[in-house]
Amino acid sequence: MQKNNRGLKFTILLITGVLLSWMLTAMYLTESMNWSCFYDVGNLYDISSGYYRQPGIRWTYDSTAGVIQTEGKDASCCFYVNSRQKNWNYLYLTIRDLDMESQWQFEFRDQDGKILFTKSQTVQNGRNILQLEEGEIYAVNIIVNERTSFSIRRIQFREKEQNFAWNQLPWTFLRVLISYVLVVFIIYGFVRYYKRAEQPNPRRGIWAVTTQKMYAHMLGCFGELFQRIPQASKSGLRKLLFLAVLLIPYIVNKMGNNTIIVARRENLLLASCFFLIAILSWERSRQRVDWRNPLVYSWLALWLMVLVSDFVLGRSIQSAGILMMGAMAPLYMAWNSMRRPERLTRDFLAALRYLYWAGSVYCLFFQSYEPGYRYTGIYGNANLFASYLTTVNISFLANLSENLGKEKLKNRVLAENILGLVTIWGFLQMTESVTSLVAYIAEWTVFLWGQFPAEKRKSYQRNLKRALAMCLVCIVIVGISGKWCLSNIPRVWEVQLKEQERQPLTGENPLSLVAEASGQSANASGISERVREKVTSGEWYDLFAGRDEIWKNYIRSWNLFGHYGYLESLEGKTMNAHNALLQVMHSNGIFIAVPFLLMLYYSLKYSIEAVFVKKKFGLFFLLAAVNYIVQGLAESTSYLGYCWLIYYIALGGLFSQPGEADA
Amino acid sequence: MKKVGKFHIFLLLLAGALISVMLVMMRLGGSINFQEFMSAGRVYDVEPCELQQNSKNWIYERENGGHRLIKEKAQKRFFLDGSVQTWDFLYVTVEQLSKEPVDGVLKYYDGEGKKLLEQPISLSRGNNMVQMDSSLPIGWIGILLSDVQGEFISITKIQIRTTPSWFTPMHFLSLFAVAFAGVMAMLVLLDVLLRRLRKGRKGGVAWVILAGIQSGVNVVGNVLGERLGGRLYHQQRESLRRFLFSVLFVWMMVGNAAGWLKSAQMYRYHALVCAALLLFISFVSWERPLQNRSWRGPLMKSWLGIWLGVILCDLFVVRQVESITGYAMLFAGSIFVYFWQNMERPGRMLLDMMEALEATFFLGIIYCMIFRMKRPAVDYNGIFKSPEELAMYGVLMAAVFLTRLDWFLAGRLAVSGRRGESAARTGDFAFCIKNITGGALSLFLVLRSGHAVGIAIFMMIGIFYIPNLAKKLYNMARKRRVLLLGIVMAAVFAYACTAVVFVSIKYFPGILGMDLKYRNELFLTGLMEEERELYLLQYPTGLYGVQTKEPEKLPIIWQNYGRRLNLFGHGGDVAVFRRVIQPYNGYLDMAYHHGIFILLPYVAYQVMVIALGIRFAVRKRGRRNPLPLFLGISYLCFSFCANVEISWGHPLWLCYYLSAGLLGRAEAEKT
Repeated sequence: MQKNNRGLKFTILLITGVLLSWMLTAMYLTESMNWSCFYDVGNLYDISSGYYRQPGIRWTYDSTAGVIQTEGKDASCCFYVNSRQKNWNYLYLTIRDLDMESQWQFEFRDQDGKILFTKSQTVQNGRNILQLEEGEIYAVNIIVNERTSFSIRRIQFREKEQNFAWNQLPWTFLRVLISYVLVVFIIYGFVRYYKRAEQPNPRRGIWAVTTQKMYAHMLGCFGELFQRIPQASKSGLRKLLFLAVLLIPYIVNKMGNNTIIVARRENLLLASCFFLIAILSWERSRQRVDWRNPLVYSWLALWLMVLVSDFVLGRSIQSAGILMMGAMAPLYMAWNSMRRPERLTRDFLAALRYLYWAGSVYCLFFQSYEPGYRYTGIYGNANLFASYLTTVNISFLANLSENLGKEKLKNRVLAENILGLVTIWGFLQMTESVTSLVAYIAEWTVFLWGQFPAEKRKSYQRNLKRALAMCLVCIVIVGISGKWCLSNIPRVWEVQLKEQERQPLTGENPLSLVAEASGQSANASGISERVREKVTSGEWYDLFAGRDEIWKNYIRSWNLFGHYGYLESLEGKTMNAHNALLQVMHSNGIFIAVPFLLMLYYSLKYSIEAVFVKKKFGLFFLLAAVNYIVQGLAESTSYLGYCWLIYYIALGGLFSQPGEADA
Repeated sequence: MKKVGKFHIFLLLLAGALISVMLVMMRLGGSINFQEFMSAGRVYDVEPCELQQNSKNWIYERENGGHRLIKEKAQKRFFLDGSVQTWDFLYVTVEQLSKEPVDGVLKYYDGEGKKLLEQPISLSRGNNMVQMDSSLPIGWIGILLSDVQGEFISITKIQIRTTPSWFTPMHFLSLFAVAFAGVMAMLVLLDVLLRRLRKGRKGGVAWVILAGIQSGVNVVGNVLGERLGGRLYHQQRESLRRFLFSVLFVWMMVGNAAGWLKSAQMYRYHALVCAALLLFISFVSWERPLQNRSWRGPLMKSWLGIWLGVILCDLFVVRQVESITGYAMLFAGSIFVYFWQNMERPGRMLLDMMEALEATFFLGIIYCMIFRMKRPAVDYNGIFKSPEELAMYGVLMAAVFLTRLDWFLAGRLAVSGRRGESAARTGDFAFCIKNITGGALSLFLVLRSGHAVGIAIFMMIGIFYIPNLAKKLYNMARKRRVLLLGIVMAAVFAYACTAVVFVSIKYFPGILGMDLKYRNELFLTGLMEEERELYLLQYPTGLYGVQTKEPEKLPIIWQNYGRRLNLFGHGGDVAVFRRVIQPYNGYLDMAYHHGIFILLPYVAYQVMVIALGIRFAVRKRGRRNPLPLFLGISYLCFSFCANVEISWGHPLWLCYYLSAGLLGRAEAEKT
C-alpha cells in the first residue's frame, strides 16, 4: 500500500507538473499573463484541411501523391471563411513540396463575392505571412499563375501575429518542468526532514469518512419516508425512477431548447430522481461502507473543482457539481449500504433495456432507414445514436454474462438479451460510426474476457450453446425482416416523421466521411469501407475525421477555471471537444485533468478487480468504464449523455473498497 | 399550539390576499399572464419635476401647484422615455383647471424634435385618455392649448403607454373584495379538506427533509466545529467571534461602498466571503456536540421559506445577482442559525455581535471624520452611498447602544443594595461614556442623513425607550446617586464628542484634502428651486451631481414596480424616468425580484420577529432584550419606503435576518 500510495502521489505530482509547465510555457511564449487563456495569441481561424483538397479552376488535387497541381495561368481555388469573426489581420499560409518560389495573388472577397482587396506575395515552402487590410472577409481566392505542384498544410487567419517560433516550445517546456521537479524535490526534502519519524496518521481519510457519515445521516432521516414500502414495490419504483433519469436528458435533447432555465430544470429533476432512488434504496444494514480510497478522493476532488469552476463562471443550479454532490453521492451511499446491491444494478439495467425496446419500436415505426444515409435512429445525429446503442449494449452484455452461468436459464431472458444484442449490432452498422464501433468491439472483448473463468462449467457450456443457437435465429429474423421493416413500415404506413436534422446528408458533416464510405448505394459495405479509408489515408484529418482540428482549438483555449459553452470549431460551427478529457479541461480548467485521469484509472482498476472477485454484475462496472474511456477518446461524452450517465452511475458500485483503507 | 393556529390563519389570509391581487391584476390586464399579471406593455410616466418645469407660455406657480398659461396658444413639450417608439394611449391627469374643457392639440415629434403629426384633444378635470396614432414612432410629445391666456392648469400626471389602463383604486378595490371573498372560501375549503386527509398523521415530508438536512449539517459541523471552536477557551472563542463579526461588517460595508452589490461579477465573490466568514463564526462557536433543533415554528418556517423561495425563482428566471443572496443565506445563514441555536448561552453570540457593531461604528466615525465631508445643504451619506443607508445604520446602532445601556442600568439596579457591591464598579463610567456617546452619535448620523423615515423610526424607538429609561433613572436617583452622576457626566462628554464629530466632518476632510467620493453615490438635497438658486450663488459647484428630494416620485416608482409583478420574479431593476431606479419599498423589491408569493414568508417573518421581539423585550424571566423588537420595528418601517433589502451590504439587513438564530431558539423552546 505504501508503494501504491507513493505511486499515486508521484502520478499526481507528475500530471500537475506537466499541466503547470504547459501553462507557464504558454504564458511565457505568448508574453501574456492571461488566466482566462494561457495561450493568448488572439483569435484565429483555420480553414478546415478537408477543403485543401477541393478542386478549383485549373487547380486539381492529386490524391495519390497528396499534392495540388496547377495548370498554367490563373489557376485558382476559393476558400470560404466560415468563422463568425470576419475581421482578420493576418493570413498564415503554410506550404510544402512547392517546386519553386513563385508570385501568388490572393483575392479577399466580401459577403457578395466582390473583391475587397488583393494581395500579392512571393510564396515559398514553409510559412508565408500576409498582412491583411480592414474589412469583413468571407472568402479568399488563391491564384497561381504558374504550372506547379505543392501541398497546403495550413491556411490560418489570425488576429495577432505569432511572436514566437515553435522550436522554442520544447526547450521552454523542459526548463519549466525541470524547475518544477527541483522545487518539488526541495519541498519534499524539507517535509521528509521535519517528518523523519513518520507515524501513521489516525485521522487519515477523515474527510471521506465525514462525507460518507453525512450522507448516511441524511439518508437515515429521509429513508424513513419509504420504510413501509415492500421490497418488490421498491424495485418497481426504482426502475420507474431510473427510466425517468434516462428519459429526461433524452426529452431535453429532443426539445432542442438549450436555455439556462431548461438546464436548471433538467438538473433539478434529475437530482430529485437520484435522491428519491437513494432514499428508496437506503437500508439500515450493517454493510460496511468505506469510502477511504483514491477513487472516492479523486471523485470528490473532481466535483469540488467543478463546483469552484461553476462558481467562478457564474453557473447556478445547472451546475453539474450540485447534481453530483447533492444527489449522486447519496445514491452511491445508499447503494453501498444495501445488503444486496445487485438489486439496484439489476433495476438500472432493466430500465436501460426498457428504454431501448421502446426506442426500437419507435425506430421501426417512425424512423425509416434510407440507403445512402447514415441511420440516426431516435436522435438527429448518427454518432449520438451509435453512442447510445453502444451504451445500451452494456446492459445486455452484463445481463447475459450474469445469466449465462445460471443452472436454470429462462428462455425469455436469453431471448431478450440475444435479440437485444443482435438488433444493436444491426442498428450500429447502419449508423457507420467508427468510434462507437471501436467502443463496441472493446465491450465485446471485455465480455469475452470476462467469460473465461466460467467456460469449463457444464451449465455454462449448455447455456452458451443455447445462446449461440438463439443468436443464429435472431440474426436470421433481424437480418431478413428487421431491415426490411425498418425500410418499409414507416413509408408504407406513412408514419415517417419528417425532422429537419434526422438525416445528415452524406459528406455534409465534416465529422463523417460517409460519401466515400457508403458510396450512395444500398449495397455498399459502409462501415468497413470507412475504416479502411481512415487507416490507409495517412492523414490525421482523415484518421480522426477532422477531430484533430477541434482538439487543437480546445487546447489553445485552456485556462484556469474553464469556459462557458462550446467552442467555435470546424467551419465556424460551435461543437463539443469530441474528447472527454479535453472537454472537462475546457469546461472546468486544466487542473481538473488530475482528478479526472485518476478517477478513470481507479474506476478501471476497481472494476477489473470486481470482475476478478466475481462481484455480482461486476462486468457492468468494467464495461461502463471501458465504454466511457473509449468513446471519450474521440466522441462526445457530454454531461448527462447516456455514456456519461451510465459511467457515473456505475462508479457508485465501486465506491466502497474496504480493503483499500485497511491496507 | 394556539399560536401556530393564529399564524396559520394569518398565512391563510395573506395567501388569500396575494392570490386575489394576482387575479385582479390579471383581470385588469385582460389576460392570464403569469409573466406579468397586468400585461401592461410599455409604459412611461413623465417625471414630476418635468411636469413642473416652465415653458415659454406655461409658467409654474409653486404656491398653487400648477401652470399659469400666458398666451392664447400655450405649448409645453415632454420628452419621452429616451427612445423613438410608437405609443397607443396618453393619459393626462388634470387636478385643477380654471376653464373647462380646454381644447388643444397633441403634437407628435420624432427623436430630433421634428413635428410629425397634430391631433386635436380636449382636456377636462380628472383623468383624460387620448387614443394616439400608433403608427408613428415618436420621441417627444407636445400639448398645445388654445384660447387659454391667463388660465390656470395643474397637471399632476402624464402617462403614455401601449395598452389601455383600467386601473383605478375603486375599481381595483371592488374587484379585490369579490376576489378575496371567493379565494378565501376556496382556501378555507381546501384547508379543511387537507386537515381531514392528514388527520391523525404527525409531521410530514417537510419535517423529514428538515431533519435530514440538519443531520447532514450536524455531522460536518461537529467535525469542523470540534477542530475550530472545540480547541478554544470561552474567552478566546468570544474574542475571535467579535473579531470575525467586525471583519464581516466592515467587509459588507466596503462591498456596498465599492459598488460590488450591483456587479454581477463581483457580487458572487463578495457574498462568498461573507458566507465564509459566517461559516467560520459558526464553527468557532461550537461548544458541544450539535443537536437537531425543531424548526417547526413559524419564524423558522418563514426563514426557510424566504430563502428557498429566492432560490426557486432560478428555475424560471435568469438573474445575475439576486439568487446568490439566497444561496449564501440558505447555506451559510442556516448553518449559522443552527449553531447559534445550539449554543449553551445564545446571548453571548448576540453580545459579541453587538460589540463588533460598536467597534466598527466608532471606526466608521473616525473614517467619516477623515475621509467623508459633509457638503452644505446636502444630506450626509457617511460611510455609505446614500443618506437612507446611513439612516438605517444610525437606527441600528441606536438600538444597539440603547439596548446595552438598558442592560447596564438594569444590571446595576439589580445589584444595588446587595451586600458587598460597591456603588460604582471600575469601568462603569467608561461603559456609560461609550454607550451614551454611541447613542448620541447615532442620533447625530440619523439627523445628518436627513432621512425622514429614519428620523421617525429613531423617535419611535425613543418613545418606546424613554419611559423605561426615565423609570430606571428615577430609581437610580434614589439608590445609586454616584452612578447617576457618572451617567450625567457621560452625557456631557457625549455631547462634546458629538460636537467634535459635527465640526470634523464639516471641515476636516476638506482641510486634509482627503475627501472621498464613491462611484454612483447618491447625493440628495432638500433645497427647492428658489433656495437652490440662492445656494448656487454662494456655492456655484456645490450642487453638482446632487438630486432634489422628490417624495412625489415614490408613488410613480411603486406603480411602475407594481405593474410588473409576476409569479417568479425578474432580474435587475425597472427603468423609471429614463433611468434604472430601485423600488424604495422592501415588499415591492422582494415581490418584483422573487415573485409575488415570496411576500408570504417575507411578511410572516417580519411579523414573527416583532412578535418574538415583544416577548424578549417584556419577558419576566431572564434578561430583557429590546434589540430584536427594535430591529423588527425599524426593518418593518424602512420596508415601506426605503431600499431596505441591501443583501450582504448593510449591517441592519444581516442583523435582522440573523436574529432568527436567537429568536428561533426561543421559539423552539416554546414549541
